[in-house]
Amino acid sequence: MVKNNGKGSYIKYITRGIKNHIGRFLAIIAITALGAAFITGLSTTAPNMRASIDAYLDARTAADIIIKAPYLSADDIAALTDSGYADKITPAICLDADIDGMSARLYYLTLGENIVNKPVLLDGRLPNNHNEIVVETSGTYIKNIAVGTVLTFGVANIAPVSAEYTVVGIVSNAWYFSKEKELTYIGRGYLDTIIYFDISYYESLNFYTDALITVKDNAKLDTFSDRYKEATDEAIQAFEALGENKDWYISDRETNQSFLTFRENANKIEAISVVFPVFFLLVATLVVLTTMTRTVNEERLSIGTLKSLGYSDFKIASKYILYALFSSLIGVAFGVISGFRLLPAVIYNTFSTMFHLPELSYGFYFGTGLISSGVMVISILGATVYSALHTLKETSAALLRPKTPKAGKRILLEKIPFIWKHLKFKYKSTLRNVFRYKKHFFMTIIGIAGCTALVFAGLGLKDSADSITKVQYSEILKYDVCLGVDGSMPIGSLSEYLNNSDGYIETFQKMGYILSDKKDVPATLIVVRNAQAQNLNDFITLRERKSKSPIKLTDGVIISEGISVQLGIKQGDTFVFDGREYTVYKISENYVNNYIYMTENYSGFAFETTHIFVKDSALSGNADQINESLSALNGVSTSELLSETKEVFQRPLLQINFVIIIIIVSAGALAVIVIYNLTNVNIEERKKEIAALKVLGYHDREVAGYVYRETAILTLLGSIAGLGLGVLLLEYVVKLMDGINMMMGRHITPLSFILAFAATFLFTSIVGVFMYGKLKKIDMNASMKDME
Amino acid sequence: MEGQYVVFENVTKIYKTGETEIRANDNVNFHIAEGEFCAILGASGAGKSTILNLLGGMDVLSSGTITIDGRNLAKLNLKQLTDYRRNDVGFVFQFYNIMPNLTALENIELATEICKDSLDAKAILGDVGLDDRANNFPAQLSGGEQQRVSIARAIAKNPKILLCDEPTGALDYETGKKILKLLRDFSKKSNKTVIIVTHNQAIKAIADRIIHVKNGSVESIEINENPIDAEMLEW
Repeated sequence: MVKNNGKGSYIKYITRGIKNHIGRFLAIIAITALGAAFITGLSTTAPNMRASIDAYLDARTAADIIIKAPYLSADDIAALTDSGYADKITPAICLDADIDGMSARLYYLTLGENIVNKPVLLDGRLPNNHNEIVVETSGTYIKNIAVGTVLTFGVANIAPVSAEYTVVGIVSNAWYFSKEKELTYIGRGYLDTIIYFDISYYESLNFYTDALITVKDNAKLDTFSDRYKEATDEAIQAFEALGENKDWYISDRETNQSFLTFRENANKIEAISVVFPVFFLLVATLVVLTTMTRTVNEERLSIGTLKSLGYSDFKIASKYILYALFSSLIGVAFGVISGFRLLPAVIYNTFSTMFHLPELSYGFYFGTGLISSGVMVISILGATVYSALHTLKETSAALLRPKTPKAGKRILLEKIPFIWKHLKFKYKSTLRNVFRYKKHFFMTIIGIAGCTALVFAGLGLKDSADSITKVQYSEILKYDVCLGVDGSMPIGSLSEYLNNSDGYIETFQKMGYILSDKKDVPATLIVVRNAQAQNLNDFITLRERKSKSPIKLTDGVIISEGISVQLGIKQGDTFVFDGREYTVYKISENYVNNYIYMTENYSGFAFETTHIFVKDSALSGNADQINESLSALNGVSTSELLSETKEVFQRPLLQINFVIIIIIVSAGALAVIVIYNLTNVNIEERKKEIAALKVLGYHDREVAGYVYRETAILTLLGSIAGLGLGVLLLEYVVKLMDGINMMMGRHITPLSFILAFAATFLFTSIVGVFMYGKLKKIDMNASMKDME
Repeated sequence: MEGQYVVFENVTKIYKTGETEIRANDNVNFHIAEGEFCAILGASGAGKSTILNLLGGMDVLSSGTITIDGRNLAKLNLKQLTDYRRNDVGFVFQFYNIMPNLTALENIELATEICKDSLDAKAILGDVGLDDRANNFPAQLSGGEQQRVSIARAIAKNPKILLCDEPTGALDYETGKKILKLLRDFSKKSNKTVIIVTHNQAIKAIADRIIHVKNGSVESIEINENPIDAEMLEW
């Protein structure tokens, strides 16, 4: 063992200790690495995403505030400049129009480097005359229009005579960095293209509709921060004072679709990124800490020998402390470095299907990762020091003697002779072994339960995300198209399309906010005629989520569940919408957007038709096919296909699903290593027992059975506990992920329970097969020796 | 054949570690008769543990033959060797190796439940004088009692040979003598072959046959016509 001839042999003693327990050493590295990578990666993802977008919006001088007005004069612009709040102001004419069969947004502004919402040239060049235009780069809905394409159109009030315009360049405007639908009040309700004209070639245009403004010093602030919001609100107030009586509509980034969806997604990722990794880390820490305690206990004899040789307690303990320190520090370093680059990049990349994204910048958002990893290392070291000192307290003579085995305890089951007597001998011994050491028993069960809980919560979260669109767009919303109509238009002009009066319903809709002290929740009010109260159920299912029992609209005001969750209002409570107070009659199941349903007599509004829900059954043809003709109808301002809306809501869920898959895979990996580690420690601790069984003539398979029956029972108990724990974990995370416009589903499929349970067993089996070789290799001579 | 129950013929065992070869047993020859109480004596490193391992079917020999009751161990594969350990060998360890979480009786059942012609566990426990300790756990037993459990476990298998590895090594003088007496009495009463591997020269006096091992080979074989009672033993 150790020669007392200097430091060399002591270092050898330590490195050999690592070599002898190499499986354990590597397992600790892997577990701590996984834990650290997971927490560092996930906790830096949302901040990195936000920082990248913040920098991107600043680099592109994206507007902080946009003022829209029917008419903005040069004097108005000058007044805004003089207010002192603006850094840059770019005046523009902006309008949405049907051109060449497309719904287009047209910008007339001075194109160049130094403007707000600067369109950056990706291809071609900027316009040189009034017949040249540049167009926005294509997204999922924005069409791809090649350089050289000639469009022919006229623009009412600006250039009414139809003319030919040549596309000379493709640009990208950070204001439109989302690839999703950009809403408009014309056509089918979303833009097909965005066209930029250089206003300097249109000398007759001497007014503006838009002022694109960056607020002074706002670029220095994080656009997602409260300070940014305060600074912007202050500027808005100043501008509101200027625009009084002038019909100005002032908005900030809060109304920008791209910005809002991005922020919502980043927030969701952040919501999962705290609870999961912390839980993950707890499990990792616990397992490593148990491993170290058991390692110290296993080496009583070596500790006793060193002690009798006169080594100081500190020096003896330092072997274990260094062992724990090396393995956990190597793990954490590896984890932090790989997690920091890998996870954010992988998750961020999935967002490129939804957004035109800048390169991801890696900020040093190490706080959470480093602190938690630090806590993990310190806990592991603490447990090691504790158990080393605890062992060292015994005299060396006591340590050199084989430890008196704890009295085998009778277990509860033995008190029920009816069962105990009928158990086969091998099961009796297994059950006793399982309950032999309470500490090992609980540590193993908690370790396995933690892994099962993580896998289950991951699967459950996927269920929740899936059920949003599944339930929302097939069970709750049942219409096929929603037509926005001018109140003045008689239903008659639609009649050639609507051939079945049961297949559509006229509604009055109004968008607004339910105001409260906590937050303002956006909602859509949907009112139907008194006589048609019963019919709404054919288009929108009103039912209670848990009981699925239908709710009658005739009896009162119904709010969707999201409103109830966000504001904490329940049946019988009152709320204010659009200046009117209502009492909640029932709460209906709903996941996307917020709705208030009522009949005309409850609403207090004079009914006028604003929207018509239509089902395919009422149409001579399928809504998808005839949508173009419907939206082209005079008097129809918008037509929204439910199938398209479903897609729009599904896409962001894909990214969330991806994060969830990362969670499931990591949880699986953790489970495998944890189970490997526990089995490995178990086998090494009981080498002598196993060797003795072999000498007695137990075949390898019987020996494996002896060891694995125990593992199987612990896995069974652990995974059952894990499912319970997982339900709690899931409930907590799902609540965190509820957004203001989207409530997570609450439905967990039985398959998730089965899968999480089965996965744990599968991992245990894989580890079992893997460890069979190790069992086979155990030398029978181990039974002859007293101790290692 | 009379006197040829256990036979070692030209047995050699070579351990290879890399380039170096260690001849742990070099051309070992001896035989033991059925029902004999035999001691294999030697200093540590003499090669007696290797003999024990080969005899117990825990290791395979490099050359030569080992015959137990007419069966050649050299021809058995690993699985057959396990079966041999299971049914034909009773093993008594220096450090007892009884399972701490099983009672005395259950420790015996651990062995009997897997072999063919086992004896009644409870009766055997009585034979070794532990009637009233059947339901005690090892931690509640003294060293001598634990060794008795270990012996009972070996006997209960009803093996062809009983192999004992330094059975008194971890016990005090008085207890050690009682254990030796127990083993000797068992051998004589049931006509079983008992082989004790030890460095304790004192055991010579109670053995029928003494095989001296040195440098991996048999140095000499002594026949003791008048073995004394174990209780008279002194060391």
